[in-house]
Amino acid sequence: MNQARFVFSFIYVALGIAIIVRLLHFGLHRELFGGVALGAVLIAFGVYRLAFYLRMRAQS
Amino acid sequence: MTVQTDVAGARTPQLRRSVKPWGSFAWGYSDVGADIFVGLGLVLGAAAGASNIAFLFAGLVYVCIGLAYTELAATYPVAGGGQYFVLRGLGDIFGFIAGWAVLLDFTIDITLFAWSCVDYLSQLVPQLLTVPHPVTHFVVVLMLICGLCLLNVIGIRESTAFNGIVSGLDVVSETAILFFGFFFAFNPQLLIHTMQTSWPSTFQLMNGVSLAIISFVGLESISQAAQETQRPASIIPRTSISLILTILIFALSYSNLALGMQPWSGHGAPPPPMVHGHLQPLWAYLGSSENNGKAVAVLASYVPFYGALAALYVPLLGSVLLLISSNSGVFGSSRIAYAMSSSKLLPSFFQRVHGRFRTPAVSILAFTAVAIVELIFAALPGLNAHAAMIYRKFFHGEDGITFLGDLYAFGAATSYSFVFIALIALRLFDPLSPRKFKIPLNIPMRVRGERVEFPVVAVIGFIGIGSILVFTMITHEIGRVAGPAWLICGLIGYLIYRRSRGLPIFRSQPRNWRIAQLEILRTSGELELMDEYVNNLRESERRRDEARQP
Repeated sequence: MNQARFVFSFIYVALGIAIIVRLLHFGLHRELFGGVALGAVLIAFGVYRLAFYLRMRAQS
Repeated sequence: MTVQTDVAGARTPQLRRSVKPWGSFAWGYSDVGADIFVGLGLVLGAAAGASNIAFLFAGLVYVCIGLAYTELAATYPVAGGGQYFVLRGLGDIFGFIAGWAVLLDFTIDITLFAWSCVDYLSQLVPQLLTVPHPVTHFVVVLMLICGLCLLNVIGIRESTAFNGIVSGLDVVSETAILFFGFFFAFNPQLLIHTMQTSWPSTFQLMNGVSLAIISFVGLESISQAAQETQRPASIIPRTSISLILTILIFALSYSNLALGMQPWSGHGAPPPPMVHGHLQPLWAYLGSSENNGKAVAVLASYVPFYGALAALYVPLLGSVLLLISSNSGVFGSSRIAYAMSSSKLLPSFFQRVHGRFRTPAVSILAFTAVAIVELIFAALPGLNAHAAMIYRKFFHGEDGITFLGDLYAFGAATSYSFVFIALIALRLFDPLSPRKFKIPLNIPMRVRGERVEFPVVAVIGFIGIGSILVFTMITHEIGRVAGPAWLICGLIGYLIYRRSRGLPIFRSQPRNWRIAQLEILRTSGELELMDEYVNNLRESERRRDEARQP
């Protein structure tokens, strides 16, 4: 279960980075702000979950 | 349920604390997670090319609301939710208003989600479609609501395990849609083009933002489940933050995908998005009255490769999730009414339990009846041409689902506004209750000799939700009439009831919140926090004694 959560968190970080890179590849457009925000939230969530997973692993 | 001995020696039933972290997440997810299934189509129909911005604005307000609920539910882990926090922070009359607004939301929840459940099923069973078959649609929704009412009176409810399975499947499914959609069909140039060419008017954008908030309603479930959660002060912040971010991610993903996704047109793809014989942009197709009730299922079917599989199961998964959410409306409204009745905010008959099934049958029946009345109002324009003409004349021809969305947005914005004020009041006037989770960004100050922290985020959130309430009043033809009418009728009933019982009308009944807090912490198993609270009380008394001495 924890492995699955780890993989999920990792996918979220990777997806967030991929979305931001892909959007910024088209240049800086204000229309892309919503997409960049989505990428940032994905990364934040993935990192939050990864940090939690690593903390739990360190404790056990 | 377990039986515990109360202070008077009587044995009173208590909710058993068996919900673990995943269960706590699942309870919240099965309620809030269903909202995007309803909200996406409505927001796309209203905010067009700015739908992602509408979701982003509402999402930021929702983060503030989520953090407020997390802090309050972890500090006061009781089943009353927002109504309890407002009662405790602002007193009886505001507690009643907040609770009454939550009750409106729960009754709308029953109807709106049962309605949408049938809409999603219609993706697989076309005989259930609203437009050509309004009578069948109405009858099936009515039967679902009556069935849920019956199940709740008998006392049958979906288990935490079932919620967990459905929530888990949905998280995996939505992540897969997101993955395939962004990697194989998302085109940033199309997003830029859509936003530039289909940017809405200010009025439409305000309407879109006020509808977007309905994608984030249901945080009451976390507080509702708090009384059944093990070590709530530790578990709730963890699960709550995950829930807030998960929901935000899905809302932002779907809105960006809808605006910037090239619909799949390869082998096995569904027919191209056409309305009345004209090819439509995907967002316009999803926001049309034919599809706005099942937008997520339609969007999923246009995701390359995965869409072929998603078209088969997303309508089913969505309808199950929506049915759970509808059921949480029946369950939640009866429990809130029961809690309000216990606090003498509503007449005592709402506490009456069924002799055989031991469920609050009167509350369940009363609020299901309200939900059925709302269903009739929502379905009328589709069922009767004369009614449709009246709706066109007075309410800009709003359809059934938009009517329900209007009221849902009004109820949510009203109750959340009070929760923010209650959070500020509780921070200032109840600083001694231990808070294991505190919203960041606080200003330290002193109130009545105690060191307190003023929550800046609550002010930001209040301004945000206040603006959404204003947008709702400006843009929703029905919401601005029916919402305040619901509150005024409730207040008149409250005044009559309190007067007839000889209870204070505008003031609160005297309550010992310190003893109540000790009891809450004891029953929740948070014994360390209970010790901390006792120490805080002793320290406070000592400081006061010292201050009194010359």
